[in-house]
Amino acid sequence: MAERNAERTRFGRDARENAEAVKALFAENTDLTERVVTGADGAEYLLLFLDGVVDKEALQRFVILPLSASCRGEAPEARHAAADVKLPASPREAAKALCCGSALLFSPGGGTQALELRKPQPDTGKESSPENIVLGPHARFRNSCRSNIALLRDCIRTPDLASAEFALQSGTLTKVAVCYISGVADGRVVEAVKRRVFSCASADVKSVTEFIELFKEDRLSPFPQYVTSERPDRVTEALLRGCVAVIPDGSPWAILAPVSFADFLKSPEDSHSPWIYTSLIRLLRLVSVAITIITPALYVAVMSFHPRMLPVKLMLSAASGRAAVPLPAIAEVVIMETFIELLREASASMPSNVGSTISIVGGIVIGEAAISAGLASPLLVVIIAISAVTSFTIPVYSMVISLRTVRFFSLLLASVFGFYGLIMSLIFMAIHMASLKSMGEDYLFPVAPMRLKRWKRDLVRFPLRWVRGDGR
Amino acid sequence: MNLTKNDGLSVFQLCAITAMGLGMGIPNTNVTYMSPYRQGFITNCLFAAALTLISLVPVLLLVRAFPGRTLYEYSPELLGKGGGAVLNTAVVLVAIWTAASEIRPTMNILRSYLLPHTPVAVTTALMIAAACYALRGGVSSVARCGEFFFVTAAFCLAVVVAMAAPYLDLTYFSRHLAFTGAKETASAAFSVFSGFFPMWMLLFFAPFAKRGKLFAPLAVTVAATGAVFLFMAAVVLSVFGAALPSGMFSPLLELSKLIGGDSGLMPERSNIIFMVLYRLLPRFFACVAALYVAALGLVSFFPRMKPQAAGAAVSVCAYGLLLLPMNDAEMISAGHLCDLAQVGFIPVILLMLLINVFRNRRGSLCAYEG
Repeated sequence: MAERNAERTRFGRDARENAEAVKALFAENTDLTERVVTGADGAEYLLLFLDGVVDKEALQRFVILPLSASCRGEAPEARHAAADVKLPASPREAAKALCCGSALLFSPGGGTQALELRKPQPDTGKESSPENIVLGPHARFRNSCRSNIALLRDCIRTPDLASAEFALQSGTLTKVAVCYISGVADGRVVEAVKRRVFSCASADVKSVTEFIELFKEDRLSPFPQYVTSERPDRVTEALLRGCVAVIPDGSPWAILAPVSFADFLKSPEDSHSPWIYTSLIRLLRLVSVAITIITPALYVAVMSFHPRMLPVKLMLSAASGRAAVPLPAIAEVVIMETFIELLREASASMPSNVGSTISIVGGIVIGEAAISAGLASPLLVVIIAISAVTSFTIPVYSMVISLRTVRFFSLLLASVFGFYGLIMSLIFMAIHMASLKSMGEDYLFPVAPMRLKRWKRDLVRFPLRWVRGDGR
Repeated sequence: MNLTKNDGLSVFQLCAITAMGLGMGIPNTNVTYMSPYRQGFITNCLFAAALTLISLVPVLLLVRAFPGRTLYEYSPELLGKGGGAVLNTAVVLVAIWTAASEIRPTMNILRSYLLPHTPVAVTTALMIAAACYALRGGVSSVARCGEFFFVTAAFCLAVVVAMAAPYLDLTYFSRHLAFTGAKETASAAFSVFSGFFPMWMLLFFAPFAKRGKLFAPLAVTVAATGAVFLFMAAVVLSVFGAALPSGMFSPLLELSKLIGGDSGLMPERSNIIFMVLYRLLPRFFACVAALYVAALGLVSFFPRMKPQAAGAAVSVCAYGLLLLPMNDAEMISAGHLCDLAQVGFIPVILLMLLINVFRNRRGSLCAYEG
């Protein structure tokens, strides 16, 4: 914003100066393109447009070619065939028109026209599979960085949306864009993200996949420190909150930072649902996290060390179910967990028209067969099923994978130390998350450090008018 | 000086840490122990809380006099090189002993009620490993852990109190609010006194607070949070403890009846819940805080030592102390020695404050150094 101190409020007579005045209103942007068109009379016209937003074919056909063509007695700027022409009165108005998909034509002598040449963004049609929602837009990113930035500009029509590009040093000539909203995102976070992207881009990275892995793996932590998303609406919401998005070319996944643990419990559908329902669902997701981590370990702890902790009837029922199982509780749990993970992997890899059927049949058959063969007790099958289902209530898939991984740590400690081991495993996780940071932001924010005002927005969802003005 | 660079604490984190130290003493004092003092249990708790809060005042003054600096840094300036070194060494040793003494009773209870066949050395090693891991992240990480555990413990207590609400009997309240006399009040309050642990926490964590002026908001917040925490704990214990005079673990027998009925299988359930709520979390954090104080001292003696190595060294020392074969009498004696050392700390703090006043030749005890 500092560089816009000398904002001009009116256009002058010089086309170059007018163009510079509009460019000065934009934060750093690598998609802001300037083109000089020489008319038949030798006059120079300046075209300013956002690459990816404007239909370049229409620009060429209806603006550039007519401008260049020879025509006597007619002002060149009247010859182009753009359908919708506006005359912005000030550089700021012109900048807004740019963001809305217009191309700016600066004529010698000071005339400025905004030509509506927005490129229609085709509907992706296909639902983004790891981020399915019921309510809300169904768009997702594509593999082109420039198209993805254009999608974001569709949602955030302001010159403050900045994008800086970095090229990977490998021979693939791939680029990575860092997007943020100037004035909203913390400057230190933006610089930290850029440094990280630059260091990853400078490394011996052969592909976009390697870049993403290198960018994300900055610590030996099982918990993800960044949210990845294919959805423009999620990325838009994050940018408006002050996050920074890293969009690599060749991948539909945008990386968002900084994030906290609470961000992994938010779904893009939340803002489209009633606030009471959303608040309850978010609390349910929190409970789901606890169930996913704790229940298998609790089963092992109770069955192996503290069976008298159960009420009598439940204890007798569990004991009778385990009577035919020759294995210790930990072995029982590990076997069933392995079955579930195999089923999950198989259903993810199989074609969708047979995958769901095989998953259902496999689940039922394996569950029944395991009980009949004496590999597992019915209570355990229920617990494993509940644990698996609750893990998939988490909206961000990277967190789902992490939770399914860390619960083996709880399982291990519970199998050795019982309930004490389970509690100590949770303490270890709490300590680890308390020391974790995502681009400088505390991972357990807003619980530790405590920010009660942010609970209204992060842990639950209060109505917008109760939340506005709480800041970051 | 802190264990890692660029750390800073918020006022609420300081309050949570201090309140944890305030509140953890109360649940560990059972009604049976209090019975010789014909004094209401809640009354004793409130007086003990008042005593603890009064003990924080000289600490706050000292912290205010030396903003951003720990005791290890300014004690040589005030007491001389030799005096400062002696004090710092004593603090480190007492801190390591305090860390060990926080864990020892918990491990014994664990062995008795939860894991009778698991060696204490093994269960202790796990807890010490967790404490060492907590130190790795620096003072702000320790503070965030304290904040998180405080919120968790307070939530658990609130749940227990809510579940006990149908069984609340106001006659028990009136009995436990009884006041019989000044002498009995004093002796009872001292017996419930949660030690100088909150004072230590404040002394060694407050220098890292981000806000410069801490006195008023910190004092008010500590008083409020500590009182709430204490009161809730006192309510729970008084309600249950008064109903069943069978000793330390009686408080939650009623709760376990609520869960599964009077089936004769309650002790395991009640002990497990008791362990989580009242023993493990606050005691664990107290151990971490004490080890942090010790590690900070070690780093001040050996500036080239890595913070992680200092944390590991003090953890190993505490573990070694825990494995010392001591019978109950020896343990109690050692505990009294530790308490005396902590009691003796107050005159040292007052002495340092006076020396600072005379050194700066200012009339106020709250003089800033810079």
